Amino acid sequence: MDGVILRLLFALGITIIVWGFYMVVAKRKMVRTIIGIELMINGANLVMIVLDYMIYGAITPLVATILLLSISVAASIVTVAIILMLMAYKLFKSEDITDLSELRW
Amino acid sequence: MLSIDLLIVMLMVVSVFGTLVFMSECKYVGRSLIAFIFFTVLVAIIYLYLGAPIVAAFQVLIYSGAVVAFMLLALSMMREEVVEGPKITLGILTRFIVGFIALSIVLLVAYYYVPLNLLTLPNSTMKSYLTGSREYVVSFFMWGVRPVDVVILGVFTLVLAAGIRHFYKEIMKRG
Repeated sequence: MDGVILRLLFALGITIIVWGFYMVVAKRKMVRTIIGIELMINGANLVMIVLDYMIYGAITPLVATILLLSISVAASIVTVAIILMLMAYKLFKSEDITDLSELRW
Repeated sequence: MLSIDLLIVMLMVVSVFGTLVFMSECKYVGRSLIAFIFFTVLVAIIYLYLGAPIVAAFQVLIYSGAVVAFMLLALSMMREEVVEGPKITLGILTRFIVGFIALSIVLLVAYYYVPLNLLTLPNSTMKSYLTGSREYVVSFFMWGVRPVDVVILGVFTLVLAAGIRHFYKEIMKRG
């Protein structure tokens, strides 16, 4: 595969990671924060698979297995995060993530 | 040289970029989730293009299926549709201009900015060490990534995101 394509996909992966970080930091709605976390995980997966392709010229089974595990763990993370979001909404009647600062003691 | 493969990948990169912008700046969260579905499908297509069909299938099944369905269920359990910010009303010409600027910046970065010598480092590492241990080569390669490259790309993307956001706000102020 052309090196330009791999460099483009590498840059895309980094862009997705940073965009997810931006959504986590800048957005106040909890759903968008969870989407940002998912974006960061997706970007990390893409960077990993592109690096694997750059090193070995193909997707190795080890990296494919790690990616499957990563996707499954991401689903678990979002499940727990949504449950926490629902509990916070039930408690505060708000979806603003800054309202959770009242939980500090 | 512009090949068909490069054109396809560029199209996918631009589409992913569009879904990212729509996901973060859309008014309704439900529409952001629809953009998230498109995003996961596009990433799955990239996986398929790179030769990982099982990962692509898992991506579509888990993200587009389970995660989005669960998020929609959670949204439906909340009080009302979440509205963030005023409505964005952009003309078709303005959208084309924003898309053209974003595409130009992404292509400039991809063509003229080389993060590191990615394509020759693994071979030289293979020849130099000859350990046969993939883990050692991978760790050496990962440590060879210059952190300043990641920082530069990150700052660039943050500036781009802030610029698009500021641009949208200015457009809204002008009506």
